[in-house]
Amino acid sequence: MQIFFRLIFLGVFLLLAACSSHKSILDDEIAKLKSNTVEEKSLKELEVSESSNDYLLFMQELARIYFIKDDVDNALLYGKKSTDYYNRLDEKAVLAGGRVGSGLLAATLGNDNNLDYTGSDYERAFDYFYSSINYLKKNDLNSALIDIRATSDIQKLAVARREARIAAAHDKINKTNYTLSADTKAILDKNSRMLADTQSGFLNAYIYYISGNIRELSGDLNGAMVDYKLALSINPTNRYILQDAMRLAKLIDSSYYQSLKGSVEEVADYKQKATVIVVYEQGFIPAKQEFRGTIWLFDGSFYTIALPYYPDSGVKPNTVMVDFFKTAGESQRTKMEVLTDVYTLAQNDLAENYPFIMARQVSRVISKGVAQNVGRNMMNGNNNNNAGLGLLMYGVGAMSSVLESADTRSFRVLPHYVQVAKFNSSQNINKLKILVNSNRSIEIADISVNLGETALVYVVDTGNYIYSKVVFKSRKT
Amino acid sequence: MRKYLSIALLLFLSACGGTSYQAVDKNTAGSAFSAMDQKMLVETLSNKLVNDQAFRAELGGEKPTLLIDTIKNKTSEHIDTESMTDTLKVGIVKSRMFSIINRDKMDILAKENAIAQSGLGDSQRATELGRLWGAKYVMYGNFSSIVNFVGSQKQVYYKFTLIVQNIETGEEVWIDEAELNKVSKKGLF
Repeated sequence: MQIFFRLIFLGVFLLLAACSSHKSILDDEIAKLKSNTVEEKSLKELEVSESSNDYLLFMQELARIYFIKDDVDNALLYGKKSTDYYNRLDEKAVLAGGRVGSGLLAATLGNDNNLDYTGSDYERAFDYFYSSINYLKKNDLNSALIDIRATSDIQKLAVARREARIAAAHDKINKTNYTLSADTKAILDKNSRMLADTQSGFLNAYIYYISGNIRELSGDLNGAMVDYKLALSINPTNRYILQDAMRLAKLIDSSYYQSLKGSVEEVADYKQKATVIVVYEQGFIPAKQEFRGTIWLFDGSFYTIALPYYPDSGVKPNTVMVDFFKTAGESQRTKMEVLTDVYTLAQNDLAENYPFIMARQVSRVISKGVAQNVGRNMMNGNNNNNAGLGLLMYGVGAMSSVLESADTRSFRVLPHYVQVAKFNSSQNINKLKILVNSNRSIEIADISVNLGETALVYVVDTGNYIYSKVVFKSRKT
Repeated sequence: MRKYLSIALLLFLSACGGTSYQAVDKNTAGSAFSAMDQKMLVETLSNKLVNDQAFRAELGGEKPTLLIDTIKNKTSEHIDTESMTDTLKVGIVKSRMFSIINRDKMDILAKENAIAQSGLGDSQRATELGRLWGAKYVMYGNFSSIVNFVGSQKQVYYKFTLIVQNIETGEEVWIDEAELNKVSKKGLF
């Protein structure tokens, strides 16, 4: 009989061992990004095969890590692997809540970590967006525009899919009969607080605003106007979005210009001026945590469940100033403004998934309860072989509380906050200085923006180390 | 004993085994744009051009010089439009309708680069290029797409427009388009 316990133990151990590696690997890489010590060798750990449940997650993380490290070719390579995977998902039957069906058996026996990671629309939009910035680094504006258009498509998809997902979520809630313990309900309510029906919860002003700028640089003024309007509908108070929307509307959309007039100090047309756009990305998305609570089913039985949740990050947007140095020697200071809190997008995505996570939890505890009952009956029978199998089934069911482990996977190397500043000058600009919270600074000296040119500069602040890069400089207009 | 070992192994495999994708015949299914789709669209337009008897009559039995400019990718997918241009070229050369200008002179290519960087619109840019290479006609195209989500399905509408322009007059002497609608096989939700 001892051998049966060993087999149960072995099966359960392997089940658990298969699910717990992603967090430590990513913790490690994020720590290395913070100290600028990322090595090619350690990134190999993320290069899993497509059969891995974590394939998409790791491809996205790799693309973003290489983006920060300014390794353009690898960033494009892994970005393409991510977007290709999403495109294949579009052709597959995906269950409500964004889960691929074939992992469900494993998820029913174990937990949600056994499901393939299928990302989310906001993560997918970021994949395309960073790909476009990578093409800009290669000075390939046409390819950048292709990915900008793909980003717009995905944000359009997010709107369409969200309506259907919320309807399906309400349906799930109505059909699933369970009662939550007070502490479990509290954590769900707290994490669902941001489910208000606002676009800022699931659309990305950062992506729209920078897309607008890229389109404008390509000469697509109408496309740029659409993007500025969308960015403004999500973030209506950002000075730089307002100024660009007004400046362009004055040229091509007078009624929209009239509706914005007076809301912010206007800027002159950028033509014949030296223009610099600075994007400041702060920190990373905190890892999801696990909460263990209790659920009562309709028959009065109760089970332990494990739910993922995002903790309060406790991080506020940094106060960031940019000094633009002109060739004549003097400098001018501008304050950056927050474009997007990406963490809110992540929290919202999880909140919208809770009804589906709960539905899977309920089906899992029911199936485990059934396994225990069947196992108990088989052990009580006369057949020795059945008694052994019964013991195994009983054991699997009884291990439910041990096996319950929340799916805490998410695209963590994305920035927490994104800020922007845009500045134009009638003199050439030859240097920038970024000041963070008055106690840290970085100089970007390898910039020489002449009249008629526009430069896009990226600053990624990990909290410890600050990465910076002039990603693109347009031709003279 | 084997039965129990199998069950333990099944537990392990079900924990680790992700989804493996079955190869989808992308030439015929799904919303993804395939090589066959590309070939079909280009050949449709190429055939329309070389079989347009009215246009042939306008050319007056001559075999005028034609510069084939780029096909601009205005879709949201990275599609090899150079390959589309090559396919187009094959059809036109075979028709013996035009004498295709070979863009192999380095000094002219350098000037061409300056025109490409000038920010001119498609039509103006094509005219300037045609003049540069001494062509009588210039051909250019746009390949665009619109992505829509209808119900739970992704629909992509592709449109390929081809234009032949007279360099001297600036007149668009021939224009046509080919369309394709692709729908995802499965629902998105």
